[in-house]
Amino acid sequence: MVTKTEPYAGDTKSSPVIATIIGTIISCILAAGIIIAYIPEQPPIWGSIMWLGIAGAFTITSIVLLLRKKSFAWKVFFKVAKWVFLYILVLTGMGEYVIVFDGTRGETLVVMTIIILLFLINIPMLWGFSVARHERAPS
Amino acid sequence: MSELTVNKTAASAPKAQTGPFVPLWGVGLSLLVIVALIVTIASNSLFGLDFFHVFAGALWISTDLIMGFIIGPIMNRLDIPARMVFAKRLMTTMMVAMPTVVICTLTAGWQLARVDNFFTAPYSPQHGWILAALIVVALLSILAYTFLEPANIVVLMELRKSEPNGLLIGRMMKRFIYTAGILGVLQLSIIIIMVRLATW
Repeated sequence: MVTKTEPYAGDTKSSPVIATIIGTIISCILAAGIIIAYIPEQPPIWGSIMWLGIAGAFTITSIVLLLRKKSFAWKVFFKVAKWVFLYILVLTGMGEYVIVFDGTRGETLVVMTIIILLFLINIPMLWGFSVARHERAPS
Repeated sequence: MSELTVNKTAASAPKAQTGPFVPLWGVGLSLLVIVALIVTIASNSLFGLDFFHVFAGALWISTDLIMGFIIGPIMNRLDIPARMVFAKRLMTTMMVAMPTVVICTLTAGWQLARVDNFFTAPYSPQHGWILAALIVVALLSILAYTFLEPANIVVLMELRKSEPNGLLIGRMMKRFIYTAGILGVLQLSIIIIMVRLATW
C-alpha cells in the first residue's frame, strides 16, 4: 500500500496567537484614538486606560500561548522578530519623538508611551510567529 | 567517475541564500531619509513637512493602487515559477521602501496638521475630516501589519531556501495581492479626504 502525502501549503489553521495579537493592536489603536480625538483638549483618560488594560491582557495571553507551543521553529521566529523589532523601534521612536516634540506631557504621555511599547512587543511577535508557524519544526 | 558526478550534482543544486534580506544600500538610504525627516520636524519647516507628506503619501497611494489593481491581477495569471522570480525582486524592494514611505507620510502629515492649526480648541471645522483620515489610517495599519507584511516576509523567507515551497508562496502572494487591493480601495477614500482638506 502506498501512502500519498499531501503537498504542504503551510499552516492553514486559524491561530489563537494571531487573534490575540490582532486584539492587542486594535485595543492599542482605540486607546490612542480616544486621546487623538480630543487633541488639543484633555481627553477622558479612563477610556484609554481601559483599552490599555485589555491590550495588556491580550499581550500576556499571546506570550503564554506562544510559550506553550510544543514543536515550533523558534530559530526562525527569533530571526524574523529581531529584524522586525529594529524596524518597529525606528517607527515607534519617530512616534515618541513627535509626541514629546508636540509638548505632550503627564498621564497622556505615559499612556501613549505604553501604547508604543505594546506595539514594540506585539508586531515583532506577530510577524515572527506568522513566518515560523509555516516551518516544519522537529517535534 | 561516480564521485565526480556526485560533486557536479552538488554544485549545480540550488543553494539557500544566507546574505541580508534586503539590500543594505536601501537600508542606508532609508536611514538618511528618516534623519532628514527628523531635521524637518525639528525646524518646523512648512515646505519640508508639505514635501515629505505629499511626496511620500503619493508614493504610498500609487504603490497600493498599482499593486492592488495592476500588478496583482497580472501576477494572479502567472504560473508559480514565474511568480516566484517576479516576487523575489518585488518583495525585496517593497520591504525597504514601504516602511520608510509610511513613516514619512504619517509623521509629516501629523506635524503638518498641527502647523496648519487643524488641532485647535474649539475644534476647527476640519476636525471631523482629520479624524476620518486617522480612522482610515488605523484600518490601513491593521491590515498592513496583520496580513500584508507577514505574507511579504513569508514569501521572502521561502524564496531564500534551496527548495522554496511554491504552494505556500502562491497562497501568500494571493493574500498579499488581495490585501493590497483592499488597501487600494481605502487609499481612494484617503485621496477624497485629503483633497477636501486641501481645498477647504
